[in-house]
Amino acid sequence: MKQIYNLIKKDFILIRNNILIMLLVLGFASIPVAKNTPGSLLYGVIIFMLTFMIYHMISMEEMKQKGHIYLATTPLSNKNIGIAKSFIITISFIIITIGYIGLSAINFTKLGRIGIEDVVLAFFTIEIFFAIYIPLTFKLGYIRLQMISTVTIFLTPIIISFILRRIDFIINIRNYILNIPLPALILFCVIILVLVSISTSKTSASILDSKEY
Amino acid sequence: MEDILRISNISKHFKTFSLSNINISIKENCITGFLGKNGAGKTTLIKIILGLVHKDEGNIVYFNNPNLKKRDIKDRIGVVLDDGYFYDNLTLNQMKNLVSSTYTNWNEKKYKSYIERFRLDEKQIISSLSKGMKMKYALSLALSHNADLLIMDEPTSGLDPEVRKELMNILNEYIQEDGKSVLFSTHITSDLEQIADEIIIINDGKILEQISKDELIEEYRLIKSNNKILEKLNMNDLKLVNKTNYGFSAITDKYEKLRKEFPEIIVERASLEDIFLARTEVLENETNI
Repeated sequence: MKQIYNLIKKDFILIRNNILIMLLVLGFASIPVAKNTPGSLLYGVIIFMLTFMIYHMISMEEMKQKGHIYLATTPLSNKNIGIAKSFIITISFIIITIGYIGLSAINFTKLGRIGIEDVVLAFFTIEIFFAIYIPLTFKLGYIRLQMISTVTIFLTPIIISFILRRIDFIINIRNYILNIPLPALILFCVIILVLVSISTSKTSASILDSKEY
Repeated sequence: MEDILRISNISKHFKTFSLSNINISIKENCITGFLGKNGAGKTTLIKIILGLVHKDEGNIVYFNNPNLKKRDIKDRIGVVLDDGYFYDNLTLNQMKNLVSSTYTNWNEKKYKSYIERFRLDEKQIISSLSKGMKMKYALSLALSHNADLLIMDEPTSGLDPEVRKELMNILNEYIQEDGKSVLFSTHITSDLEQIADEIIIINDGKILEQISKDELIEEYRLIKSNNKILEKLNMNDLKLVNKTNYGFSAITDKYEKLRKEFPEIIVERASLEDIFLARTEVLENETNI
């Protein structure tokens, strides 16, 4: 547990100089569009972009500073590296969600309100996305992953319009989630987190075990 | 003395470089110097030992136990890498917390004593450390978890003589403890001359020889005389011949024979650097033939 805690702390320290600027820029950038965008959609876009950017900044710093090479000479468990990365996504998710809820409570920001169903839906999507994306980072390395990220960013408008065209489907899922009691939803999120952490740690470890530095 | 590390028939092939059929051993309570020119394969072999690069063929037995798990092996190895390879944004203390949580035998007291001895500030950011301070910090980490084998890749390159001397003293202290060994790669022969017990010479991805330092130094001599004598000598007996208008100097392992034939020849002890260059010259010539 101490290893995972120190790995998470290390990752946040690596990006601490950039994280505040990024949050402020994105916060201010979202205010002008907030008035005409439904809260659920804006929250979904913001949370996905921010977790993605946080993860990318960490990967970039890892590549630049090369401390992972020293760590590879220590008995550090590769499974813990994977678990720590998935926890970073979850922690970022929680902080951004709290931030969004806080900002949306201020009338001036015009940010649309969100409900538990939006949070659960976003949580599920992000956790599943990063369960694939984190091992991919270890497999491809930051440089090759940057190409994938560029494609992802270019595809974002298409994905958003795709989502909007299937808005009924998403509304149905949201309504379905709304009917689930809160304790069951919390349990669902915990199960997702555990499954994603196990899957990320196992795939990451098998990739890192065969990696050369 | 037991072998703390035994490497048999290791090979690794890259597009432009290969390590071929490497066979060496590191003995207990022994400082082994790993000597080779830049690009000879020192770092690649060290990376294979540390598990950072995977071997294509061969076998490595660590601590005389072929069944040790990877984690247990790493727990008993202290590492000092050429560039440090730390997270530059972290303070010394933050990096230490990360590293110490991975070892089962971390000794905080020992770590603090090294930090104090090297006059390092734990709150300092790693990027602000000089090369010498970074090496001292790496050494503090490597020696604070009761490692039995200390592996150092070019630790002295770019360091001033005072820091190098301090490092030699630390290594001497470390090796006095029972069951400790050091593998120390460098291209600076004077460091090994001071401290090494054994020398491994690597050239172009092949091990040229593993020999005790004293034996190696005893094998060769530096000879000097005038150019008339040089004309009478068999050039095959001489290496690194340096001829000027006043005379010549050369390295030879046939010094006993030459001294008998030409008593006027001055015979002096050869430096490890000269011997190393002579040995690699022999190998290069043999390869060219």
